Amino acid sequence: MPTLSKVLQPIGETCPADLSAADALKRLTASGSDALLVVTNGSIVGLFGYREALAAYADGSGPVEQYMRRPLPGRNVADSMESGADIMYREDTPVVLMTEDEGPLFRKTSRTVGIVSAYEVLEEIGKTTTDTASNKVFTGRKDLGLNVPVSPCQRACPIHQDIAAYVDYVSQGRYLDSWLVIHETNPFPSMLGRLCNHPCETDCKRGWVQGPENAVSIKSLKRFATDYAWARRVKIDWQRAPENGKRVAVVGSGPAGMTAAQDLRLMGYGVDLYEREAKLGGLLSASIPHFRFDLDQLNWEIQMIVDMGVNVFLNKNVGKDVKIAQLLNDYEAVFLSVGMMTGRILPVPGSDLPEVISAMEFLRVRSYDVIPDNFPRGGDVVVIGGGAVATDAAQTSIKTGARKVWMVSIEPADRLPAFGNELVEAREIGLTLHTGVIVNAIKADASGHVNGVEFIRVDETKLEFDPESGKLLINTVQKLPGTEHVIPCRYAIFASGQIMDFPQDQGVPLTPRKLMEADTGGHTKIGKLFAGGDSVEGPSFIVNAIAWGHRAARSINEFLGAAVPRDAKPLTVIETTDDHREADYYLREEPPILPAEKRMDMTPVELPWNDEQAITAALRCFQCDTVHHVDESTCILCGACDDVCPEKALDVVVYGESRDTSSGGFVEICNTVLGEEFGGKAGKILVNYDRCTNCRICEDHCPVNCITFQRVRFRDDAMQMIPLTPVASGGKVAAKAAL
Amino acid sequence: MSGQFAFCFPSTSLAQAARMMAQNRVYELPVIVDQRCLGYVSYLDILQRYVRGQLGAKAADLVRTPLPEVRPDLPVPAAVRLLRESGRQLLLVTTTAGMPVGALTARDVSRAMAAA
Repeated sequence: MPTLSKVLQPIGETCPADLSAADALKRLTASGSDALLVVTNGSIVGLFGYREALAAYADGSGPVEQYMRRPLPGRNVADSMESGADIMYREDTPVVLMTEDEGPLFRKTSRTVGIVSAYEVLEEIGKTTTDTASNKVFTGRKDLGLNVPVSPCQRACPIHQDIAAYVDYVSQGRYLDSWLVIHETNPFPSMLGRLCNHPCETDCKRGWVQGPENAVSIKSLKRFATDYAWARRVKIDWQRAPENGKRVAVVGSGPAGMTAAQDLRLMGYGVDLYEREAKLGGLLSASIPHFRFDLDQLNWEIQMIVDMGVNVFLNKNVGKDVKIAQLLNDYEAVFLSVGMMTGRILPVPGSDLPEVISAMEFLRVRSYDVIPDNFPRGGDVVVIGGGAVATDAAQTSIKTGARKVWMVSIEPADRLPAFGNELVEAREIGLTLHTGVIVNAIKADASGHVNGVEFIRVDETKLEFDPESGKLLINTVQKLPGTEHVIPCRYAIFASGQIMDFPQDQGVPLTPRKLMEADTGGHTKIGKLFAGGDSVEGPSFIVNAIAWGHRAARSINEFLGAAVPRDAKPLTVIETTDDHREADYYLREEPPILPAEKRMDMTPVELPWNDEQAITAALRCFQCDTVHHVDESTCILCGACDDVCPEKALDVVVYGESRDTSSGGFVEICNTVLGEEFGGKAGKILVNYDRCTNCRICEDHCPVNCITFQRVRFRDDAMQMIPLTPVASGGKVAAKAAL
Repeated sequence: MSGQFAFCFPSTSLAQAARMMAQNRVYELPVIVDQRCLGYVSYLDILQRYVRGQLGAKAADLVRTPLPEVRPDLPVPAAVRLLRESGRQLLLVTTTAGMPVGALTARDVSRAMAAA
């Protein structure tokens, strides 16, 4: 049974009993301790802590002895810990004086040797009691200099989201914390929670173990946390750097432009945002049909960025209304993220007919809730193309009232570029696929209106695909003469690629593919001019565009002479973590969608998860960012952890001994020299975190209990959450200042 | 106000709550669920359970109520008065909707008094 000597503390700060309470309070706060011991004639007579300081608040001029707590109970250092806890509870005191007997029998005297505070007893309770209802909790911040492995999902994510952290927060029911972590690098989680191509899930370690189809549903968890925050009507109040007086123009308000605008505002730059459309969001709001996301949530996320003080200029077509030379003259830097917002119409006979439209234009018009001119409600539509844009255009056509919609592509059905479940969903609501053909001409009736599209079959056996991107190599397409056929329709939509609609006379460096020429940091050959997003990379994913925005903002910040990039986050947050072995019994679950008969309008089709679904999905995360923390003073290099590791992720290396070191681990978690009782051996423990699944079996089997698991993460302190409708925001500032 | 404040969940073990109190130097720990405060766990109750050998419980088993909730714009004198009247060592700072945004401890207030 532990005795109080185990938690004995030396006598700390003292003060005389006749000191004024105000002075005592100053001494108390300066000392950093929890209480002052009040001394009279060399004896401790009481305690002056924060609770007593509150009592002295109205009349701080009185002496300490007027407010101090007394008598201060005492215990012997040889008494049990329970005895100390008992007296603290009975006397409602957080401090107990510790005495020690001295002198011979019958003449024993006691002398004060220190104190025991409730914190030490609580700490001992925490150390020595087995958790029966374990939970992950925030335990404060400190910098232990631990190894910080980057989890595979975070490595794969173009914007390096702290996925393990936000998934873990969902598993704890801390949904808003999760949302905040997401927002550290992702300004559009409502979109990416539904539409991301999720390279993180492709690289999820759960998928390595249980098969790729069973990766953690990271994308849907992001959506869940965002839905929760949206339902609570909160927003993020960013702590921005002071205004530095420099101004940057951002051209294009798509994900790249908005992200750059947000980052630049955080860095203290004045940002003017130019958008040629009548609304912000770029392809998010003008190309992606509204049934695939929640428009209100997107507007909420956009507004959060605008509220940071971004000056917005809508309906300003840079390159036409405003010249690049003028922007370069007016601003310290210019970031071009104009995207690839114009659809390509193949130059086949009849492509200039009034009922022929590009998918990008069709979707853009529909995004304003307007039905395009000549659209045949109740008539047939042919969509030419097999990618995601074609699927969107086809579904939108069905939901806009077309009677029958064809999607026609060169690629065979099993090689269509459209990914995910989109094609299945589209077919469920009536889409008809016609593959292995190429468009030959658009047919018109006598009055000059479209009445069909003529196709010709291609030799599918000759088709070849790029091994990396999976895209069709167009030079392998061979038409089969004599296979011409016409699909009757009254409207044709070309989803056959996108081009950048930006004047070439503006002096912006272009590549041979007519994309803007810039490096991965967004630098162009013109010093003040930066470019990024689809207009540099070609049509890509939303998350890649956001990454461009982050990179360009950093580049601009460096170009304009900033010494410290914004992403230098000095704070380290350490959290203990729990293991979720029961998660092995769950498999991946996809969010439900509306039944087909209810998907005939523009209502968002993906349904939300409930708490149980989200927490179950989150529990499946291996928490790959969790690290072993080995107490080197306790480890005896016995090798038990190495022996029991089911993934062979650990190696215990003892110098001078031959042991198996096949894990491939290189992260050193322990380096110790043992005492003479262990022969003075020296060695280290190495971990391969690509193998470790945090099963904690090493922790369980360690005979000296020297292994624990902790999470280390760098927290963004520039964020705090506030209600959408500000509540006493001025008062909050006042209160902070007062405290 | 401490923006990053220690709190626990109803399912938090008493051992974990004890660790958190020790690490965060607080005597009372708000019990939060679904961004709402249920009440608080006092160090005295944990000490009592420890003496009785009943540490197998959870925070939910000994949550006390109410924990006073205040708005961020509460003046310091009012915070002092509330702390004294309630006998608490910690006030929870919430939005008007009851969402916790921070905690105000006797230590925070005392520091403000000392600095005044």
